[in-house]
Amino acid sequence: MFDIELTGTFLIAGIFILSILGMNFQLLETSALNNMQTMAQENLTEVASIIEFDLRKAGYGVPAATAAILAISDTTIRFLADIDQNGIPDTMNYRLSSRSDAASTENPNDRYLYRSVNGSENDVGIGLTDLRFDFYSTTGNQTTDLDSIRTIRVGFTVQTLFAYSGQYGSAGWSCQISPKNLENI
Amino acid sequence: MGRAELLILLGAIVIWGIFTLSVNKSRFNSEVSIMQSQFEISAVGIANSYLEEARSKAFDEILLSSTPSTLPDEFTAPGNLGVDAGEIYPNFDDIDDFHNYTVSDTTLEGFFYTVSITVGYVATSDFDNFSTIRTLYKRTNVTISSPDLSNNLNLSRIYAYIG
Repeated sequence: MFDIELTGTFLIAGIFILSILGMNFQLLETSALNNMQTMAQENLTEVASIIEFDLRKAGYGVPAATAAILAISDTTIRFLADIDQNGIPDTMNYRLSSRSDAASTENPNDRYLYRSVNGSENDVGIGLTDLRFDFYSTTGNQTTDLDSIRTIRVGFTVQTLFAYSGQYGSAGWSCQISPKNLENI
Repeated sequence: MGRAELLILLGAIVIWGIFTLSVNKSRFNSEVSIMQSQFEISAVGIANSYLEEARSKAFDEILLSSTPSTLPDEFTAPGNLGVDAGEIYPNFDDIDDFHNYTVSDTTLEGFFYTVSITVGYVATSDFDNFSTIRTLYKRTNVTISSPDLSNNLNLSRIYAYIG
């Protein structure tokens, strides 16, 4: 015999359980996405502090007649700076790897950021999806003339190495740096 | 179903509704916090860029055209700090050209912000507040305000004249 009260109870209990499961899933998703955003931001601030520290030192300990910026492109910079303060200028180089270098990660767009000191290269960041250097002269105009460079604008975006529900954690940063020791060169 | 059971059911639905709303509010707040921290990272980068740009300029206008013998008396008077005639950003040539400079812009990520900069002399006895007399130190205060930030972001730097 059809029991309307029992059916109603099952129906309400079913809706209630589905609602709890749905909310639990949403909470997990939000938590995972927030964690990924936080991871991306932590990665970003670490890479930013390394780049900022090195670029500020460009030209430090370099004789006045020697050019401090050696080579530039949109994604690379090579410059002289006595980074280890031993009285001898070191050759610093930053470059972004190709996507295939980071093929082992789940993210198809990420790359390594390589930093080399006197030819000894290490990756200082992974998860960078783009990096861009722009160079400006003392008048504030964009320049590619190495001797005229006084200000360097660097910007990059970091993504997490893995996705959750098809979404990657992402964070961006850009800053303009005017190395003190480029002024006298 | 009796009236008592119906009331219990309605009570349960109300409690469940309040619980769901509070959980959703908490999720929303946590997402806003994550976005704000990204905007704060952007704001620090923007403020640092202006501080770096100011640092790359001459300490004072007079140093661009002569070698003053009595310093800091020949520096720009505190009341005259600010952009010089004919100078428009980004073609400022000394630090105090940034005094009272204000600009609004939007980053590529959609972060709308307003930058306000003040520059003044500071004395070694008080690096926090602007001095009313010329000194060998100029302090630049950069304030980033935005509807996307819970509070204004303030960064400052002091530049020393080294002759």
